[in-house]
Amino acid sequence: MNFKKSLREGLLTNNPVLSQLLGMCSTMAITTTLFNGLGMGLSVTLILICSNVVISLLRKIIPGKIRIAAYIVIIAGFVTMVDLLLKAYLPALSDSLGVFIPLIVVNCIILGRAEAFASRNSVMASAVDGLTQGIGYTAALVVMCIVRELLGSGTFGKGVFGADGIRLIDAQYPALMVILPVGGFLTLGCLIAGSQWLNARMKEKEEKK
Amino acid sequence: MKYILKLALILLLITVVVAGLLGLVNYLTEDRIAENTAKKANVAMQTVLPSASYEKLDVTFEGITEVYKAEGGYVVRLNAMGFGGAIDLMVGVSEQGSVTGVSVISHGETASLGAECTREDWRSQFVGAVGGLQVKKDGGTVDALTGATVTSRAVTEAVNRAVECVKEVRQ
Repeated sequence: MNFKKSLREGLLTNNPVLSQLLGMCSTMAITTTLFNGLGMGLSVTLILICSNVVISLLRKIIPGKIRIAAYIVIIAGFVTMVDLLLKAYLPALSDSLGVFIPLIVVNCIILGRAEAFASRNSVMASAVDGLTQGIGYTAALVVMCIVRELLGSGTFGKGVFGADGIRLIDAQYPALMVILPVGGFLTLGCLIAGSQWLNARMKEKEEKK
Repeated sequence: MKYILKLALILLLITVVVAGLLGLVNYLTEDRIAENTAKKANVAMQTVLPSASYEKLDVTFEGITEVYKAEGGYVVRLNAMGFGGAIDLMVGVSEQGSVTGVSVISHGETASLGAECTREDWRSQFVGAVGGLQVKKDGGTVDALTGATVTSRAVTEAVNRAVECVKEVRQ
């Protein structure tokens, strides 16, 4: 088990958003402010670690034929717990993310990791995988949020640093389009291109060695 | 047959354990969530029409969730159909039938566009209105939010509805 390698996979070479292209729905919908992105990223990371650990623990008990049903029940359980806890202790975040917290149940990243990793690896390795994939997801969201919030609303950290955040562009100039879905696609496209370029460059360097 | 039973039993066991844990978490958070919701509604009522007490009226109107009698007026809770689903609103209306305040409890509008309907400086333009409002685009006087005409229309229409409702209640 190699944490560094796993982290590199989660962040770059096998990033859930930028390389596996999973969890697109939430990525498009909530990356409008840094506050949302951080909240969503951390919620998904927490759920991913928990579900990976439990599924890895039960991997020898759950028969192959009912594995998807079993995974979904476990994932839905954790998502509902996080949803209730957010509603109770972080109502502002819960209001802001709204229906996208319950929708984590159908986020392919979590089922994808359960199926591809946790169901055939040890508990410890699965926990690390959940953490690094979660970090990768959060990092991709945060970059998208910062770009879209800055270009679309002209602020940084709305909700994180005070209710209005730090205003960097005067209120009348930002391009509203960036906040809309079309801006989400454009930002994501550029981000994927950037990460692919970085991946290719790193691969080249390794081959030269 | 035996194999199918085994599958069902394992799945049953997993669901029972998950359900039990969910019940526990629900039990632990239930009170706090109810408290948060009540607090939010209360804060909204206090902003639209400050009063020492609110008495829930036993009336039913189409499209109106709840009506409260406050000191010097009424508070109406209702839904507006916004761009991203229902917007839960609280509208205060004085005895004379003019709007004293509008507050958004929850909404699913686009961030930075429709979501700006929660801004105090936008909501305050409804204060003093006596119904029949329209956004400027439709020939009225209400300043619509930039890029969020649907949201602005929905809120405006809901404020009109609240005023109409209070008119009926007073009679």
